[in-house]
Amino acid sequence: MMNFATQLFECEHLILTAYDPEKDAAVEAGFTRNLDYAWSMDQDGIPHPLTAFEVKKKREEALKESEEKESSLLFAIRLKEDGRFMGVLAFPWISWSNRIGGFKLNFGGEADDALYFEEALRMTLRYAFEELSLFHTHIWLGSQDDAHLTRLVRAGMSVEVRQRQMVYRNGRLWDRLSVGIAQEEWLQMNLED
Amino acid sequence: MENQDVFTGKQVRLVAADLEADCKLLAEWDRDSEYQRLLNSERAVRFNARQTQTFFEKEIGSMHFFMIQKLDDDRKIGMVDLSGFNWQVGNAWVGIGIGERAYWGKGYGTDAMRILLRYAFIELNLNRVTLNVFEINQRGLRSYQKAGFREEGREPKALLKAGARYDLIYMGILRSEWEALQFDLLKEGSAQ
Repeated sequence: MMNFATQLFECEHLILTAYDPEKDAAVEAGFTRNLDYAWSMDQDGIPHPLTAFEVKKKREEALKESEEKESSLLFAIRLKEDGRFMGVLAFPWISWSNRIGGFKLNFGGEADDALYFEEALRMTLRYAFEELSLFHTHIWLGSQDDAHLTRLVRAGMSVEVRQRQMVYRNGRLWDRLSVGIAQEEWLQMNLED
Repeated sequence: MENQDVFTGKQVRLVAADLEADCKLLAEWDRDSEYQRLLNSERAVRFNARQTQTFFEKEIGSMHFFMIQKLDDDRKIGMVDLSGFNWQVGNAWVGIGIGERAYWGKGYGTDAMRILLRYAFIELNLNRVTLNVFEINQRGLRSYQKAGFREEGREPKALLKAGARYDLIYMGILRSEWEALQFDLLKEGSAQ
């Protein structure tokens, strides 16, 4: 059930905060040694490890655009316990006239991803549907990424688009999947809970 | 090869834009709000020719942009472009619009798309070409299917216009599919 008093930026182990380019960018640059993480930052570019300078510039531009155009959002994901920066939640483009927008949810470390991705996903969908009031949201991933697809499907999302041969990793082409869920479906699932 | 000029089709040719003159045309076509709604998910607005030209002067370096010109009278009736290139996988996104509504449904758009695909595959060496079309644009959907695009999925009810919601359809054509189409056309031609 939706509740006005729900703390949108917190869940059991995680907290969403503002992204701090001065501190977070250097850590995030380290995350981009993982090419899956680098790909998720620029899904139409060629993934490669980024310098702290590049990440800082990119994130500062994103924050400026978010402030000026109000059609994108960027959060840092931190561990509640000690404030450690673990990853990023971004809504790169929200179409307010259609009430739709995709998101990117990325953890830098494999262990953090395994432990906290689903918790962060629940917080993301709650924010998308309860606060942004989106009609529909989605996330893109490569078809090689079975682990995340399983977790997205477990959260009630489904593959809606399969762009053939749109991702190149590990020496071959993969499909690019858009995995989505409508607000109505999410509300239904959460009412049932 | 039957046609030595990669940019010329059966009804139209693709030409580089004359930014000053053509941006006046592009700005004028936006008067037709249905045209804008078919082309773009965001709110329909009016930009003047100067604003349109400024946009293209900034962006044209990152796209391959063409005006669609009729062969019989040289009239420019629309535009088509490839942008969002991803050279790692060999993909680009195509946008197309016939701004002069008198020429809708007469095959000009399909002809322009066929030219663009030929250019994309035999000159740019792309592996696939991608586009989006709204469910309400059935004429566009049929045209893209005719040119060889296949549906790859839908973002359900993504477009909200005039109180109704419509799917956003994703389409793509692989180089191998385009090549098979050329082979079929060649066979048909030699059988006649």
